[in-house]
Amino acid sequence: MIIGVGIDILKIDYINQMLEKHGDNFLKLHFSAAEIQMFLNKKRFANQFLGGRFAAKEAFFKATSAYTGMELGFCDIEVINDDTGKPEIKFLRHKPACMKDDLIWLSISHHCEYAVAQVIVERAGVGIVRNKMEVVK
Amino acid sequence: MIFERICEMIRSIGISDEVSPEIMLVNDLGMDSTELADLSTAIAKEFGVLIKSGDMKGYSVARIVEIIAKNKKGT
Repeated sequence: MIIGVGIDILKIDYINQMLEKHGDNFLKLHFSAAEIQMFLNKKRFANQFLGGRFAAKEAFFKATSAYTGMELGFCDIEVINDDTGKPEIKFLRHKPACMKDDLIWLSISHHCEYAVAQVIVERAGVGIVRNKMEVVK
Repeated sequence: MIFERICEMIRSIGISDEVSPEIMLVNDLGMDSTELADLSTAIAKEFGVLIKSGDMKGYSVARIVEIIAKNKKGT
Protein backbone atom coordinates (compact mmCIF):
# COMPACT_ATOMS: atom_id res chain seq x y z
CA MET A 1 0.00 0.00 0.00
CA ILE A 2 1.29 3.46 -0.84
CA ILE A 3 1.65 5.52 2.34
CA GLY A 4 3.55 8.52 1.05
CA VAL A 5 4.26 10.37 -2.15
CA GLY A 6 6.48 13.38 -2.76
CA ILE A 7 7.60 15.30 -5.81
CA ASP A 8 10.05 18.15 -6.24
CA ILE A 9 11.23 20.27 -9.13
CA LEU A 10 14.35 22.40 -8.97
CA LYS A 11 15.85 24.98 -11.26
CA ILE A 12 19.49 24.06 -11.86
CA ASP A 13 20.40 27.71 -11.49
CA TYR A 14 19.65 27.32 -7.77
CA ILE A 15 22.60 24.91 -7.54
CA ASN A 16 24.81 27.33 -9.48
CA GLN A 17 23.84 30.15 -7.10
CA MET A 18 24.34 28.11 -3.93
CA LEU A 19 27.75 26.89 -5.05
CA GLU A 20 28.75 30.43 -5.88
CA LYS A 21 27.35 31.87 -2.64
CA HIS A 22 28.26 29.15 -0.14
CA GLY A 23 30.80 26.92 -1.92
CA ASP A 24 31.83 23.83 0.03
CA ASN A 25 29.47 24.72 2.89
CA PHE A 26 26.51 24.08 0.63
CA LEU A 27 27.95 20.75 -0.48
CA LYS A 28 28.84 19.53 2.99
CA LEU A 29 25.51 20.51 4.55
CA HIS A 30 23.34 18.90 1.89
CA PHE A 31 25.24 15.99 0.39
CA SER A 32 27.14 12.97 1.66
CA ALA A 33 30.83 12.37 1.01
CA ALA A 34 29.92 9.81 -1.66
CA GLU A 35 27.54 12.23 -3.39
CA ILE A 36 30.15 15.00 -3.34
CA GLN A 37 32.73 12.64 -4.81
CA MET A 38 30.34 11.62 -7.60
CA PHE A 39 29.64 15.31 -8.28
CA LEU A 40 33.37 16.12 -8.43
CA ASN A 41 33.99 13.19 -10.78
CA LYS A 42 31.33 14.29 -13.24
CA LYS A 43 32.77 15.43 -16.54
CA ARG A 44 29.42 16.74 -17.81
CA PHE A 45 26.11 17.85 -16.27
CA ALA A 46 27.61 18.02 -12.76
CA ASN A 47 25.21 20.69 -11.50
CA GLN A 48 22.26 18.88 -13.09
CA PHE A 49 23.38 15.77 -11.21
CA LEU A 50 23.48 17.71 -7.94
CA GLY A 51 20.09 19.31 -8.68
CA GLY A 52 18.60 15.85 -9.18
CA ARG A 53 20.01 14.68 -5.84
CA PHE A 54 18.71 17.78 -4.06
CA ALA A 55 15.26 17.34 -5.61
CA ALA A 56 15.27 13.64 -4.67
CA LYS A 57 15.92 14.47 -1.02
CA GLU A 58 13.21 17.14 -1.00
CA ALA A 59 10.78 14.67 -2.59
CA PHE A 60 11.72 12.11 0.06
CA PHE A 61 11.06 14.60 2.89
CA LYS A 62 7.69 15.46 1.38
CA ALA A 63 6.76 11.79 1.13
CA THR A 64 7.81 10.93 4.68
CA SER A 65 7.72 14.02 6.90
CA ALA A 66 4.13 13.43 7.97
CA TYR A 67 5.10 10.33 9.90
CA THR A 68 8.83 10.73 10.55
CA GLY A 69 8.20 14.10 12.22
CA MET A 70 10.99 15.93 10.32
CA GLU A 71 13.66 13.97 12.14
CA LEU A 72 15.70 13.48 8.97
CA GLY A 73 17.89 16.10 7.34
CA PHE A 74 19.83 16.31 4.08
CA CYS A 75 22.89 14.63 5.56
CA ASP A 76 20.93 11.76 7.08
CA ILE A 77 20.24 10.25 3.67
CA GLU A 78 22.08 9.92 0.40
CA VAL A 79 21.04 9.10 -3.13
CA ILE A 80 23.28 6.45 -4.63
CA ASN A 81 22.90 4.53 -7.87
CA ASP A 82 22.58 0.77 -7.63
CA ASP A 83 24.42 -1.65 -9.92
CA THR A 84 21.93 -1.02 -12.71
CA GLY A 85 22.27 2.74 -12.42
CA LYS A 86 18.92 3.19 -10.71
CA PRO A 87 19.06 5.83 -7.94
CA GLU A 88 18.01 4.79 -4.47
CA ILE A 89 17.78 6.38 -1.04
CA LYS A 90 20.24 5.13 1.56
CA PHE A 91 20.07 5.99 5.24
CA LEU A 92 23.43 7.17 6.54
CA ARG A 93 22.76 6.71 10.23
CA HIS A 94 19.62 4.74 10.89
CA LYS A 95 16.35 4.11 9.18
CA PRO A 96 13.58 5.56 11.36
CA ALA A 97 11.77 2.83 13.27
CA CYS A 98 8.46 3.98 11.84
CA MET A 99 9.81 3.24 8.33
CA LYS A 100 11.37 -0.12 9.17
CA ASP A 101 9.74 -2.26 6.49
CA ASP A 102 8.85 0.49 4.04
CA LEU A 103 9.99 0.35 0.43
CA ILE A 104 11.14 3.60 -1.13
CA TRP A 105 10.74 4.11 -4.85
CA LEU A 106 12.66 6.97 -6.42
CA SER A 107 12.85 8.41 -9.90
CA ILE A 108 14.94 11.41 -10.99
CA SER A 109 15.06 13.26 -14.27
CA HIS A 110 16.71 16.42 -15.48
CA HIS A 111 16.61 18.33 -18.70
CA CYS A 112 18.24 21.64 -19.53
CA GLU A 113 17.51 23.98 -16.63
CA TYR A 114 15.30 21.78 -14.44
CA ALA A 115 15.63 18.64 -12.35
CA VAL A 116 12.66 16.71 -11.03
CA ALA A 117 12.32 13.80 -8.63
CA GLN A 118 9.49 11.69 -7.30
CA VAL A 119 9.43 9.42 -4.25
CA ILE A 120 6.79 6.85 -3.42
CA VAL A 121 6.81 5.05 -0.09
CA GLU A 122 5.19 1.64 0.04
CA ARG A 123 4.41 -0.28 3.19
CA ALA A 124 4.68 -3.98 2.54
CA GLY A 125 2.16 -6.44 3.93
CA VAL A 126 -0.61 -3.94 4.48
CA GLY A 127 -2.55 -4.74 1.32
CA ILE A 128 -2.74 -3.47 -2.21
CA VAL A 129 -5.54 -1.25 -3.36
CA ARG A 130 -6.09 -2.29 -6.97
CA ASN A 131 -9.01 0.00 -7.49
CA LYS A 132 -11.51 1.87 -5.40
CA MET A 133 -13.73 -1.18 -4.93
CA GLU A 134 -11.26 -3.95 -4.21
CA VAL A 135 -8.73 -4.34 -1.41
CA VAL A 136 -6.46 -7.39 -1.56
CA LYS A 137 -5.06 -8.60 1.78
CA MET B 1 23.62 41.24 16.78
CA ILE B 2 22.33 37.90 15.61
CA PHE B 3 18.86 39.21 14.75
CA GLU B 4 20.26 41.87 12.40
CA ARG B 5 22.48 39.31 10.67
CA ILE B 6 19.51 36.97 10.15
CA CYS B 7 17.55 39.88 8.65
CA GLU B 8 20.46 40.56 6.27
CA MET B 9 20.63 36.89 5.30
CA ILE B 10 16.90 36.84 4.57
CA ARG B 11 17.24 40.01 2.47
CA SER B 12 20.18 38.49 0.55
CA ILE B 13 17.90 35.61 -0.45
CA GLY B 14 15.68 38.16 -2.15
CA ILE B 15 12.95 38.62 0.44
CA SER B 16 12.25 42.29 0.95
CA ASP B 17 9.42 42.04 3.51
CA GLU B 18 10.00 43.70 6.85
CA VAL B 19 11.29 41.13 9.33
CA SER B 20 10.39 41.16 13.00
CA PRO B 21 11.35 38.61 15.66
CA GLU B 22 7.92 36.99 15.80
CA ILE B 23 7.57 36.55 12.06
CA MET B 24 7.37 32.93 10.84
CA LEU B 25 9.75 31.93 8.05
CA VAL B 26 7.25 29.87 6.07
CA ASN B 27 3.81 31.00 7.18
CA ASP B 28 4.57 34.73 7.14
CA LEU B 29 7.56 35.22 4.83
CA GLY B 30 6.52 32.41 2.49
CA MET B 31 10.02 30.95 2.33
CA ASP B 32 10.24 27.78 0.27
CA SER B 33 12.50 24.79 0.85
CA THR B 34 15.33 26.09 -1.35
CA GLU B 35 15.31 29.43 0.48
CA LEU B 36 15.36 27.64 3.84
CA ALA B 37 18.32 25.56 2.66
CA ASP B 38 20.07 28.78 1.66
CA LEU B 39 19.40 30.34 5.08
CA SER B 40 20.44 27.17 6.91
CA THR B 41 23.74 27.12 5.00
CA ALA B 42 24.39 30.82 5.64
CA ILE B 43 23.77 30.32 9.38
CA ALA B 44 26.06 27.28 9.55
CA LYS B 45 28.75 29.14 7.65
CA GLU B 46 28.65 32.25 9.84
CA PHE B 47 27.76 30.90 13.28
CA GLY B 48 28.80 27.26 13.08
CA VAL B 49 25.29 26.21 14.10
CA LEU B 50 23.40 23.66 12.02
CA ILE B 51 19.64 24.15 11.99
CA LYS B 52 18.02 21.68 9.61
CA SER B 53 16.06 23.46 6.92
CA GLY B 54 13.20 21.02 7.48
CA ASP B 55 12.99 22.04 11.13
CA MET B 56 13.00 25.71 10.17
CA LYS B 57 9.59 25.34 8.54
CA GLY B 58 7.92 25.81 11.91
CA TYR B 59 10.29 28.43 13.30
CA SER B 60 10.00 32.17 13.83
CA VAL B 61 13.00 34.46 13.41
CA ALA B 62 13.17 34.77 17.21
CA ARG B 63 13.44 30.99 17.55
CA ILE B 64 16.30 30.93 15.04
CA VAL B 65 18.10 33.68 16.97
CA GLU B 66 17.54 31.80 20.23
CA ILE B 67 19.02 28.55 18.84
CA ILE B 68 22.06 30.36 17.44
CA ALA B 69 22.67 32.28 20.68
CA LYS B 70 22.54 29.03 22.63
CA ASN B 71 24.75 26.96 20.32
CA LYS B 72 27.14 29.24 18.47
CA LYS B 73 30.82 28.47 18.67
CA GLY B 74 32.79 30.37 21.25
CA THR B 75 29.91 30.66 23.74
